Amino acid sequence: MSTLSTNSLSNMTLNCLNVGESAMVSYVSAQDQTTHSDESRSGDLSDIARRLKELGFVQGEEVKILHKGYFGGEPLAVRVGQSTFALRNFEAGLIGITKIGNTTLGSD
Amino acid sequence: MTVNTLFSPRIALVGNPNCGKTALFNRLTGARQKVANYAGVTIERKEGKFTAPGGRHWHVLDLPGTYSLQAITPDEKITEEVITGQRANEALPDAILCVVDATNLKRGLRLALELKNLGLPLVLAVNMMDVAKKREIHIDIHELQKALGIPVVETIAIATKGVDGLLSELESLAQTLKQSTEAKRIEFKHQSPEEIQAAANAILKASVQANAIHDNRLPLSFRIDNWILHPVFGPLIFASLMFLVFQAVFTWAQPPMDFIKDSMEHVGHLIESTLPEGMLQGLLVKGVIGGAGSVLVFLPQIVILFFFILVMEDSGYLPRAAFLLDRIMGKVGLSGRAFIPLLSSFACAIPGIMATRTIQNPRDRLVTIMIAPLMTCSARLPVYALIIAAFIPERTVFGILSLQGLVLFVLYIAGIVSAMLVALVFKRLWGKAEKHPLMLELPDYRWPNLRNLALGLWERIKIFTTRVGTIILALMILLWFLSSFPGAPDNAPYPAIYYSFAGYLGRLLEYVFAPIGFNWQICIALVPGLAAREVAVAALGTVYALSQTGEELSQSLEPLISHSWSLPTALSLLAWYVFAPQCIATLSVVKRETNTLRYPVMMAGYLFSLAYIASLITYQVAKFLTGA
Repeated sequence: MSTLSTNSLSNMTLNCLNVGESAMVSYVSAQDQTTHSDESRSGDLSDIARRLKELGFVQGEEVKILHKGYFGGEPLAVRVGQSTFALRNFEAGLIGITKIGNTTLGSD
Repeated sequence: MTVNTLFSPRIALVGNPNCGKTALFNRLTGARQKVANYAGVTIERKEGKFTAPGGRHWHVLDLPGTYSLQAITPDEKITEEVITGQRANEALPDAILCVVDATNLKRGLRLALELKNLGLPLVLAVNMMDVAKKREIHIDIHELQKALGIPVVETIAIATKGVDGLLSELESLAQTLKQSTEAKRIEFKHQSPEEIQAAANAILKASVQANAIHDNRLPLSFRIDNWILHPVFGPLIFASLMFLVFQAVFTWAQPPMDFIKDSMEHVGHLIESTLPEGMLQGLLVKGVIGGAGSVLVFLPQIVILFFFILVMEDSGYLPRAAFLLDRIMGKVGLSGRAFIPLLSSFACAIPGIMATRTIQNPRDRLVTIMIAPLMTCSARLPVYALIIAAFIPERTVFGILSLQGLVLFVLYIAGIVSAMLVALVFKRLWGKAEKHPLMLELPDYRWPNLRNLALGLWERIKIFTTRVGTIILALMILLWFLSSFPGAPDNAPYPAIYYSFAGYLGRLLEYVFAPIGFNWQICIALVPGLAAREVAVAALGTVYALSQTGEELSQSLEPLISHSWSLPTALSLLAWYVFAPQCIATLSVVKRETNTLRYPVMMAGYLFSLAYIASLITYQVAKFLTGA
């Protein structure tokens, strides 16, 4: 897969961010770091990856973690575009990011 | 042109979740809606009718909200299949009305672009224009129309005049439509999300101008969420809300419930005094009024409960509650949204099961339906109260706790714990190996719309009362018949019910129930108890030939059973009622909600097995311990 090569550029994913931090989406991949060996899963994950893109998690979009659940830091409330989505860690783990520090997103 | 002014087009509403699509549907159709399920799935199918100002009749289908035409969830699959003509028994709609949220145009446009690829007549309704204007988002409708190449109208679904523009646009669309009779299927090529995103961005750039509001404060929804989703305050707010709901369901509902009960009794007495004693009187008083009345009495609880649920759903709180509970409920394979239906089931499993409609994932919804009857419903309380008062001594344990209260608490906990275990089993049985995505949108908060609230409530009332008026009533009459015929012989040593079909059935059941310690009196009472669980108390009264009713009956039953039953038998009956499969009303609602006999049969089967095993263990252990 061509998207795999971009993985090596940055291994930072959305679930690594803390509450209040913003970042730029760099890729959305159907490869979960923890399930490389499981072939049967990749089909389902590519559905999830496509859906994440359809929700607005596309390259270049700004994202911000607004809240996290109180047990185990899950789920995450993520702002993207004009919407907020709750994601579990493994879904957030499919979204690769590059950090851009604190921005004004959410206050406009 | 072959324009037929009488042609009634079928139009399908398609849109993202939370775009105000259902509000628009309600605005167009009012109360002329038909709610059912799609064949074979637990997904709601909403169809309505309206007559346009020009006199043309329209059929409107409100399709499940979707983010794209490449469906992932089963409800999105319905939308995809209907608008491509691939769903059996659903004709391809004549036209599509795509609804987008003006404040979130980018996401809506992606769907609109996909729909355009289908080639069906398409109109775009840019909804919530009032909110967009307030936020200084300027949308150039003409530019948008030009860029998309389809008619575009602005709508405000919550305002009376908000759909006038849409109606006239639909009329001119109808002029171009031709009535087609042949079944059609549409094949189309999916574009990649990136391509669609690029196209949407280009259109947005040309048609939307968003002025930055010079306001340094966070948007209202963000400020509310800082409290609602706060690690400490969030759960506290949630717990207080649930406490309020629970209180309301139990205390506010009491006066109207008493009123319904009293009126039913009053009508019963009236019939008793006007009709001669006999079959017809018995049928009307005991069968129709007694039977259906014992279920109808839950209507106030249902109305109050759904009032809260609809407010929470409309305001945007419900997905936040799911967010807060996702982790805990997820442990046993339930969705966070399952919490409210399960809480409702403590009042009665029927509204609880009806409330599972807020769970979008059909598998999660099914598991929630299956475990709802394990929540101790209020109909079980009279049975618990009777047995506890008769067998559990009024003693204080650990200095402060009442033993009777403790037993009641244990019974509630036993229900909850077994529900969690059963959910785990269903997760194993039905869950696929794949990880379950959440991807739950937390929409902006908004004030619940009174009209939508009233329509939603009306619909639940309609569903419940037609159930009570049809299937449940028929079953009640059947049960009355079974308990009354054939009559007792002269000078019979036992009460009349002993000789009835129900009595015969009960005595047969005694063979089955002997290992769990049930005597024939209990077995017979279980048969009319199929109507609603608390009816078993009244039936025990009949079996023991007592003439009192209500509170007095319990008082005279108490010493009677405490003398004639052993403690293991009483404990065994308590354990039985934790699972208590015998509620026909619940099973019939499960049948309605799942649209198949399979799940009510499965539910009755697993509840019966669990009840039997639990009672067997309780009885045998108690017998061993008490040395009986």
